[in-house]
Amino acid sequence: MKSLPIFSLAFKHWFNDLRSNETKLLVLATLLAAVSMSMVSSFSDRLSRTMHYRASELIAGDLTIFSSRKMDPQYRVKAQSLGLKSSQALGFSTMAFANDQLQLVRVRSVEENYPLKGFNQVSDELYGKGELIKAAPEPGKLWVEERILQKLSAKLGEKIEIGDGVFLIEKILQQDADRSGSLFSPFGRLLMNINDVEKTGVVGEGSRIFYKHYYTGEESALTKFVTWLEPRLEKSEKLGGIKDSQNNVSDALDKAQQYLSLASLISVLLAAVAIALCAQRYSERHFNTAALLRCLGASSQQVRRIFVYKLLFTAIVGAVCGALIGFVLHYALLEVVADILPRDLMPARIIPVLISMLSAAMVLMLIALAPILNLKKVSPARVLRRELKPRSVQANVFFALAVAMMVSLAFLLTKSLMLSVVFVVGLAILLLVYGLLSSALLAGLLKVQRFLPTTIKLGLTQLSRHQYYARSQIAAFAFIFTSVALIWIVRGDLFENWQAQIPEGTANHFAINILPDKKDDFAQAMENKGLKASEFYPMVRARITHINGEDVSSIFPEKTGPNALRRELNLTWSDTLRQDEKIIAGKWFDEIIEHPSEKIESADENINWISLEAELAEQLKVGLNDEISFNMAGTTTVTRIASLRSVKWENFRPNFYVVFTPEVLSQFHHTYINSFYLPSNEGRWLLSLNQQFKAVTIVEIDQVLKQVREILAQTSIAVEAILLLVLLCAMVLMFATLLSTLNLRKHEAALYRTFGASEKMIRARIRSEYITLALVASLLALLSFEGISLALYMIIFKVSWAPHLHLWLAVPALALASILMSGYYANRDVLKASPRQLLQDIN
Amino acid sequence: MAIIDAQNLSKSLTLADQSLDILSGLNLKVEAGESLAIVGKSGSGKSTLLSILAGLDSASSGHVFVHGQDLSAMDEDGRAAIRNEHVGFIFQNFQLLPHLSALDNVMLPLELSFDKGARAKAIGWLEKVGLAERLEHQPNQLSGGEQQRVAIARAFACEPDILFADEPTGNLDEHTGQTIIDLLFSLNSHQDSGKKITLILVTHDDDLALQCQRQVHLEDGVLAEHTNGVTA
Repeated sequence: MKSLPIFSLAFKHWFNDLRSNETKLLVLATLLAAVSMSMVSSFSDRLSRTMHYRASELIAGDLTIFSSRKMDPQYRVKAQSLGLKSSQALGFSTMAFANDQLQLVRVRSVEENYPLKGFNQVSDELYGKGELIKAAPEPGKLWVEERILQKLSAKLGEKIEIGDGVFLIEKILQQDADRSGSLFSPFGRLLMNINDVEKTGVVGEGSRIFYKHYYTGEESALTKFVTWLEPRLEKSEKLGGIKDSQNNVSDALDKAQQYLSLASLISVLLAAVAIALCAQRYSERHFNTAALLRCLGASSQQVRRIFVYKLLFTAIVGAVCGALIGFVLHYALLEVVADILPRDLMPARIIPVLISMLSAAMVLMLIALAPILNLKKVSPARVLRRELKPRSVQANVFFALAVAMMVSLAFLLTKSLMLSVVFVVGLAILLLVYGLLSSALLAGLLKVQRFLPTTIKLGLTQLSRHQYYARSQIAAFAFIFTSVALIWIVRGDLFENWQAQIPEGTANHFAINILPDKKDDFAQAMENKGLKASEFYPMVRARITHINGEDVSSIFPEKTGPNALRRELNLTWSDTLRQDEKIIAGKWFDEIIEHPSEKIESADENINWISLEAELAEQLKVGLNDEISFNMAGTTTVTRIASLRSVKWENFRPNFYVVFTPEVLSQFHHTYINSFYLPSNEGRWLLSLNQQFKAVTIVEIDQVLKQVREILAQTSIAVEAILLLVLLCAMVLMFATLLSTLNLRKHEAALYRTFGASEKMIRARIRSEYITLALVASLLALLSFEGISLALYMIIFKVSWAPHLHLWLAVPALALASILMSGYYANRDVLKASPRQLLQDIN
Repeated sequence: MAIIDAQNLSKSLTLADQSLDILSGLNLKVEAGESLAIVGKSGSGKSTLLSILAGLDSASSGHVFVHGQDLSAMDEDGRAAIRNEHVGFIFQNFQLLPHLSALDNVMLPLELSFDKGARAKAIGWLEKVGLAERLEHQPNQLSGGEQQRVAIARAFACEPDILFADEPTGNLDEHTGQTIIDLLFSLNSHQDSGKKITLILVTHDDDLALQCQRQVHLEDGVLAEHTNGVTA
């Protein structure tokens, strides 16, 4: 057992080494990588699980099963055995009767424990202030939407007949806890106790009923339940999750999560480059130690073990402390944003901390191992002849391993292999290009130096003397500034994007069922009130009956097809494409008529062209030129797909799956829909609006908007926090870069001082070198930043690009300030110490 | 049998397409317990010869036998094992590890050979060189003379058969240098084990060289034997 003494010897050396700057920086860089990963992954793990949870509030449970047939009671028994809570609802459409008026309503009959998640929003007066309650109607009582009461001219406390039953209107239902289902159904909804269904007598053989199960509980139990459930599900039974309901927030959330992950990845990469630089310098500083150990009889294996153990201690201390600090910091971050976080935040888990720990340690080991292994190749004769350098270890293998490690890390953080590979390979290419470009830039500037100010000229001369170091310093600084600029700008764009998505005054009401002859009056009423309203979109209700001539029930048997087939769709017409929509395939109507192409078969005027929403097309398994038949009020209209569109569902405006040309659809009975913003304290105005336009139904979406806003505010703060971490990592890298040439600087300063140079003179030389370094690196950073942002905007965001002129001032200013300040700090010994001390330090 | 036997040693370096002969066909035998000084001008190849004899460097051609084992036939790790077992070093610039205390520096070679009594031995040797009060001091807290004493304690601590010293007084003033030389020779003649270490040192210092039993002069890559200051 000879490894133990080597282990303790290595530990003693490592402990003593902690006094050196390289070891400190190596520990710090590893620590920061771990802090960044652990903080972000713990934070986003909890946040995303909580958001998942909150989004589950929108469907009143974590998991739902929807079916048009009665479901196996064993499902609920199994769920209970796993410790899950469950609830059942039964839904149907029927006629409600009051005050001699009939109205079609959608009934959701629920059990006492409904909703399992989230709240019902109810009120005790028409258009009054809503109250969130976790309760369901008692038997004999109904909670009814305002529009039903308006249609029936009924009031709270009065009775409504539904089938054979008579029920008391107890509360106004402003928002059902289960938000699934169309907001724009022309019929109102009411909540009823499930025990009352029998009293109504409307549910029997042949009735159109849907059954819904709600489940909630521990994640692990839910997973077990889903695994058990899936093979047992009938074709008519659909599992529901939050994906179905979170259209409004999913886009913003996805982008925020991606941003957090990418920013975290950049901070890890910055730390990784710092590790690489520190490890290089660390290894150079230890050539002598290695040579001496060899002199004293240590075998190359012993030397290797000593240095690998030392690296391992650095990895363990950096990674363990970093991951734990990150874990603690995520609590601090949560504390800062506590006000806007949901009350019941999901508990922290140890997994993200462990993964971060392991990843940070691996980053250090893989990147630093190649230069450290060089040490075992150091010739013992180096103790007598300093100039002997070790034969280089095959670094390619380690480089490949490090790249693979970074790709895996990127994958872990972004969950996209393609993005990860592009990111890491792009980074490697970028660093290489920086190296080449910095040489070219230096050479070019040297040629024109007589036109440059004296400070820059002096700096250039200094840098050109040490081309190798200058090149790596410029590349490292350019990398730092490009990363920070990118993170900064993308963050700004993200915030703008979010603000643009729900700006102040975003429509919080929809008005549906506006008859054509009332449209102008309705618009006038909006204008009189001074409201900001969207344009009016025509709407025709229709059901899809055939696809390419085949009955949809035979294409999708047992109701296995998308929901869109099971209900009436809202169709609209337009001769122009809306600004926030994009054609993904095919052409818009006017282009087909003018320029028929191969993809769109003919410009036959008798064809009824439509534009279909791309995701629905995918669900229906249709493409360009496929035929879809619609049944509109008993008339069948055959249409052909001219284009597939992407629709921005999250824009809180009326959106449609299918758009026709005006000529076809306007012949059918249609109504209009629009959206408008009404301040929350003016709800009573809706009463008078409703008096004037009795047929119009108003739908409020204030709660949804509020929830989306809250979620966006949370993610914004998280984004700010990660930006701070990126900056910290950038600073460590900056120090690592400056330290990499400290010996050289000490040696030069010692010689200059010996020859009588004053401190002021040395300070001036260092200043001119750093100024030049900062300016050249900023130029390189700005060029590459603009290049990358151009590619990002054109390829990924698909928006127009303009140079970021403000950065052309900000980046050089930031570069000058940060490099000069940290440079002076790193060089304080060089300026103060005596030449003898400096030379002793180097030796 | 000679403890060191160098046969027909040559060392050449190629610098800017030009071959430079540092040692050419050199022969040298050193008996066990003998003290030998290698003298010569700056750049004459003294340190290179010392490196090759100690197995720190390899010759371009020829053989070096230490205890009858051919160093030139061994790989680097084989030579390291020989050094660990038989060889101690003292260098001009002391070569102490800056982050370790005096005691840790002396313990280092003992720990590398897994010596369980490393600490006690190291303390004992530091007491012998007069640094009992300085055990926990780091090299930068010690004077040049004190640092060289630590290096001497380190060299003797593993009880080597052969001690190589490269300009051991080169970085010291005359008085301190003399004290170090006295210490070196007195330690060698008062070994507890009674055995005498073979001492091979490279020096510019004539006084130091004359304290050795034998002096060889290196010039143009060839050795010439001195006897009482006369080249033989």
